[in-house]
Amino acid sequence: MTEFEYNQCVTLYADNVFRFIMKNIGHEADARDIVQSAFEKMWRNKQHVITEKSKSYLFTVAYHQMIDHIRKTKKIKIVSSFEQDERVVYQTNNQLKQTLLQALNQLNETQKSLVLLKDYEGYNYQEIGEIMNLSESQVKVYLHRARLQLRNYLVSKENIR
Amino acid sequence: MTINRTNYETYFLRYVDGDLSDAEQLMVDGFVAENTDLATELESLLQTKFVPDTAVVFANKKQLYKKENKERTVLFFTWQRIAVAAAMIGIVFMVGIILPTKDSVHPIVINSTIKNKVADLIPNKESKHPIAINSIEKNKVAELMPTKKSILSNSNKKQPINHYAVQLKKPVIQKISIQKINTPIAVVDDATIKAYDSRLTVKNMELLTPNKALNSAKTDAITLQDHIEKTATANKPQESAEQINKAIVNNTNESSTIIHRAVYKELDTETDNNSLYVGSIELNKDKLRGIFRKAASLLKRKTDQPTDKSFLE
Repeated sequence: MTEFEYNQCVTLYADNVFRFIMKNIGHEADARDIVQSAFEKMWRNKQHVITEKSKSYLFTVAYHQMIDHIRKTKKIKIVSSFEQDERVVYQTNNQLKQTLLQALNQLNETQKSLVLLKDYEGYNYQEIGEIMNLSESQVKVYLHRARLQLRNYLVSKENIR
Repeated sequence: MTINRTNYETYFLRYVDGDLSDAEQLMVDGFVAENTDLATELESLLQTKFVPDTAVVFANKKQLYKKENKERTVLFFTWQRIAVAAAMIGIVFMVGIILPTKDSVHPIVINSTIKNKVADLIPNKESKHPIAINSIEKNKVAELMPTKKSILSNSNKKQPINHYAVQLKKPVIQKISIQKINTPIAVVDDATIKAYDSRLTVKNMELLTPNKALNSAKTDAITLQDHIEKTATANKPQESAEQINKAIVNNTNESSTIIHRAVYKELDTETDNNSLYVGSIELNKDKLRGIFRKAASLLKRKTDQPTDKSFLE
């Protein structure tokens, strides 16, 4: 990978990686740090990185750094999300998007990453497995469980209303 | 595998993920159309699909761009070293050329065309190469020259060089060599020749008296004379006759062929005389002349050009 190709990756994938990390951890500053460290690592190893696989390389590095970050900080967001859910209960279902984001926060780190990699970036099961170090069947099972959980959360909100 | 009410959930989830082929998607659509109660379930699963929020972007991407500056400085230092090494080598080379050595000729030496090699006309027994003579020795060679008559008689036809024919070009200093002892010397007289072989038709042969030959020669002439005397005794007449025939080459048809002592004249065509020494560098005169001529012709053309232009105007 040359200098020009690296800078091209910054232009093409910086927003995607940031969005992915941001939706996972919900903290902008921490997400920027993770994105910067991921690109820094790719720059240091640019001689070994294939340009065609640079996107998956970035997501892989960013994901692992995010996991490390989460384990270090151990932020409990579930409680805060519940409080937000109570506020959402009295709102209309037109705010489906926000409800969905809340439902996303209900998931664990792995399920959340699976859903975001699948829906945001359009990776297939195999590519998601390479990024998250899972087998294809594991990805399929975990993702289906996450979807059902999201569906149940949405349905429950509607039922409560 | 077809969809049914026991495995529809798996198909629905794959449908949401976009993992179904076109045929499978049509199959699921058909199943849902038949089982309308399951349509809401599929719809609820489709609502769990996230859409990227393009409003969320990484601000100030300049912080992420990189430039390879550090590597260039390393290359600079290597080029610097190479340049210094090349300069040192060039200085050493120039010093070696400029400084005169012991063996060099000062200032400009021009080789003379006259060589002072062996003054003797006739080589030793062991020598096999022709002998170079200077201008002084040239006179001695002239003594060995055949008479005018003999030269004229031989010059009518183009004859190959006879081993015994003397060929001299006046302006050129030639080398003279004397044939080996093995080859027979000219016949002494008619009587001796007739005694050995009827094929011999040589007449009016002049005898190169040993005295004339040996004045400027060494003992080889004497040995030649001895050889003739020995052959004359006719112990082996056939052999001596053959030797004589070999000596008289291409002259059997001539009635007035003169056999002389063999000499080889070598023209001075050596190129070593054309060398020119400038310091320790050896230059070729001929090449220098050619270069100067070309330069002169170029200058001449340039001076002639204004005259041509005036003609055109």
